[in-house]
Amino acid sequence: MRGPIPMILLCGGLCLALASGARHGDAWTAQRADLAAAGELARVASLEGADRAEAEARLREAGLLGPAVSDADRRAAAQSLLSGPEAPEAVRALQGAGLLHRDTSLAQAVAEARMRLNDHAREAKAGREPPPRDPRLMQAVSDDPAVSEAAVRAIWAEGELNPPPTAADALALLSDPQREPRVLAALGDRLPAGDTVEARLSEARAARAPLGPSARLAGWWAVSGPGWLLGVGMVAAGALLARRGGAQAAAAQAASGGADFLQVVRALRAELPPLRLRLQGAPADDTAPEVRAALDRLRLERIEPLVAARAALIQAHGVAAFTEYFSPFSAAERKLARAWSALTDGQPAEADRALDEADRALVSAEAAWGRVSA
Amino acid sequence: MSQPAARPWPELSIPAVLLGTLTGVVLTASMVYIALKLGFGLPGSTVAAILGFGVLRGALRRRSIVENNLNQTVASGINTASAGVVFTLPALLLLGVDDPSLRDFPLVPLVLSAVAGSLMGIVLIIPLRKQMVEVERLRFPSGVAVATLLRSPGEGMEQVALLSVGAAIALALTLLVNLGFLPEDLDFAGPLSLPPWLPVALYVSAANLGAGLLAGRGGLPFALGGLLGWWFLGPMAVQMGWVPAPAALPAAEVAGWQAGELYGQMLRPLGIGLLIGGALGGVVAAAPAVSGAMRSLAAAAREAREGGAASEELPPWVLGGGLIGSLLLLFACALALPGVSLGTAVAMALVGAAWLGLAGVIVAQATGHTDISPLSGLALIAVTLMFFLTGGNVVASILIGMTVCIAINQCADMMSDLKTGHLIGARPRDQQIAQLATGWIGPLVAIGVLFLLWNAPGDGTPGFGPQSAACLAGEGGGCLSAPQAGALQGMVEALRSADAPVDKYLAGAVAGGALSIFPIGGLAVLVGLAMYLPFSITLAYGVGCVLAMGLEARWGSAFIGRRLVPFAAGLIVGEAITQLGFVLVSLSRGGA
Repeated sequence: MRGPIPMILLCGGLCLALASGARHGDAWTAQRADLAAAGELARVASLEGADRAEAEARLREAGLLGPAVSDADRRAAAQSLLSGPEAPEAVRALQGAGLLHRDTSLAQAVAEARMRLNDHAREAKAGREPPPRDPRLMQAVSDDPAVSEAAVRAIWAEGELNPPPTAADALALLSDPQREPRVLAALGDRLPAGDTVEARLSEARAARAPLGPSARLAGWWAVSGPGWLLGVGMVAAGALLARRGGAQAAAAQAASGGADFLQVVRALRAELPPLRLRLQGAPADDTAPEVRAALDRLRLERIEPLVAARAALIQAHGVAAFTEYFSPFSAAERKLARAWSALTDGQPAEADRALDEADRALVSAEAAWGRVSA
Repeated sequence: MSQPAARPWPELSIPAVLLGTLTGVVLTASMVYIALKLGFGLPGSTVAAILGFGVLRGALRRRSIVENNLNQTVASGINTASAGVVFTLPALLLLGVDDPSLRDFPLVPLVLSAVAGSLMGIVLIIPLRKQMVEVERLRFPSGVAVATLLRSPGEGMEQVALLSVGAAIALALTLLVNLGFLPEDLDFAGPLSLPPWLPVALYVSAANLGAGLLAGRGGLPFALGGLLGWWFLGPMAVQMGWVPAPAALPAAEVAGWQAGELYGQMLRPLGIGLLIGGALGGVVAAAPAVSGAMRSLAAAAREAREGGAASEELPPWVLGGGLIGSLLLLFACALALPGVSLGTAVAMALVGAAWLGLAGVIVAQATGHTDISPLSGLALIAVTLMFFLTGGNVVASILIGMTVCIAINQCADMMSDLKTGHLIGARPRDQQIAQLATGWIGPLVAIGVLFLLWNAPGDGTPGFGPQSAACLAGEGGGCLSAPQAGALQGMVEALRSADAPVDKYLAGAVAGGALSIFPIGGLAVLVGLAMYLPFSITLAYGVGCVLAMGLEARWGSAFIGRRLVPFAAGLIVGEAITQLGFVLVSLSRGGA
């Protein structure tokens, strides 16, 4: 079929097929948006100071980040924490942050007592006057744990060793406005933090499992399948109609096309003998510019127009038959180019051989044409 | 009848093969380094042809266009392995930095499979010479440019002047871009207040424009494919809400994000699918011609034997033997890999070879039409196929990916060289023998140089890649970031997490298959390639096509042959040479 219908079908079908093909399934699109959100969260997490605060505010405004908790709420939660059963753990956290001193444990105190007693003995052994022995040290290294602990606590009370800090110490820190932010930061995830970028980011990363090929295909098919199928069908129909229309037109032109092919082959063959004659008397190193000019003319005026019109020949005879006669024609074309190159290098004998081979290739092309046409 | 020659007219000669080999080895080593640093390699044909003028025609006083063609065939055939190796193998080394299980892979099968790929690419594509060069008449702009360069001693002053003017323009343009006086893309979307997902930009490249000028009307579907993708599909997808921007994104970044999504998640994978479907359809459509060409090869060989003359083409038994030999070699290499069973090795060799053949046709067609090769996309598909075939064996997947990458590059290079040969009248058989005989050298040199660079620090730390000491220290000059391998590394990581865009590949492939029924050769490949590439390249190429069509309409086809072809060839040759010179100078100064 000729006319615009094949092209309309082809173009419309291609647009429809590719548009449908480009669309993603809903699940993938949603996941992609999550991934993009994760990328943005990661970017915000890398910011600091005012930039970070501004970016977080934007995220909260966009609903990607839940509300934050106020400092007053966090302070109240810290007070509650330090007054409750989790106070010892909270106190240790504050010690870890360097806000409360590190205490000396009972075991450490006993070891210290033992060391001091050993020092005392060593001084005595060396003949020097040792300081008076502290009876609390003797009690501290007692085998009776109750006696030992009572002695150590007595030493702590006099401030010679660090006693464990208490929740009251921590609450005192909290009432100091200078130290309060550090206390709240040190208590960290023990206090309600509201929604944070880090928490959202780790959630997004955890939920990053891809759909997998079959789910991806199924999702795409659900939204695009019918449109895509229709588009592909239209492309195929348009292409088939164009192919059939082209074949009919080519068949109509076959006679003139055939005449063109034969004409070109015969014209080329007719032009070769004078060129060869010119070369046969040529001395070595002759570059024969007039022969090269003639070969250029044959290429531009005879061969290239036929090459440009080969589509009609293919349509008329089919690719296999076309190849049968066009292949030797192309070989002849290459031989003519070889003759041109040989002459450029001052090789008239080689050029003559190439022209001879070109002639034989043209004879083959003509014979093949005869077979195909018959 | 014919005169005895006063002196021989050499073609397949020892000086040509030696010079080509030497040039090829040096180019390969340089290109491995350049590609690790910049992410792209450069073709070697033009450099080799110019060196051939200096050494063969100048120093050795051997006046033979066809001998110089042999020299460039050998050099580019060797150099072509560098891209295949650099785009794939470093990914395995980079993955091994974080995953110790990927560090111990056998080196010998790796090298031999690269050699097998190189030889297989050559023997698979040779039978298609008649189909692609003689029947389809693919343009191969670089092949035409090299042929124009080789013919220049015999051209008239006007043609030589046009070639020189083209080269001078390319030199100026390339320098202006490389020195930062001109942007890589001339962007018109910004001044027109268009969003990034509706791009209007021209890639500033003399070679790209030259390729469009040489392609003329034949390249128009490529430009139209780009328009279809970026001026129809893209805006439509955005307007239909198919590319929802994350709410978290600042408003100013939304359009840019959507443009990235359109390209990376829609157009590019769809383009790869179209390329695959188009190539498959093209192979089916061309089957009668290929079969006819094979019969013609056999007949020519028979006639030559009977007539006592040498055949013009390599006989089918040589090609068949080469194919079986390289297939067996690939199978043996696959079997030698850890974790690969006998059955898997057979499947790897057969599927790898089948994909390699198809991808070779795709690349040869794409290069033939536009001079642009979708190499990385096809290598990614090879890795994907092997990943699923081997149940997630990363070493085996990248090994076959590298083999395929080397092979398809060889296909494109061999066919481009055969096109050059056709235009200057070279004997195809001599070119085929030369490339087959030296095709094994490139992979050895490329892999050797790669491992040399990888082990250069000497303390077990990576010699290149983002985690190398030079890159971590931010040493611009010493950092080899291996960007292409980074892309493949990302792809392998995506495969390991089952995140490949299979829906787009399938949708594109079937549409491409349907499109290939249309009686315009390579239509689906051109449309697919246009969607696979950034739009600025496609649009600038299209400008070249339209200009050529306008010139032909105004002054006729003779003008195209006599004036436009040498000028466009000059643009291509000039950019290649300038780019190479610029990169070498920059690298020698520790920059780039």
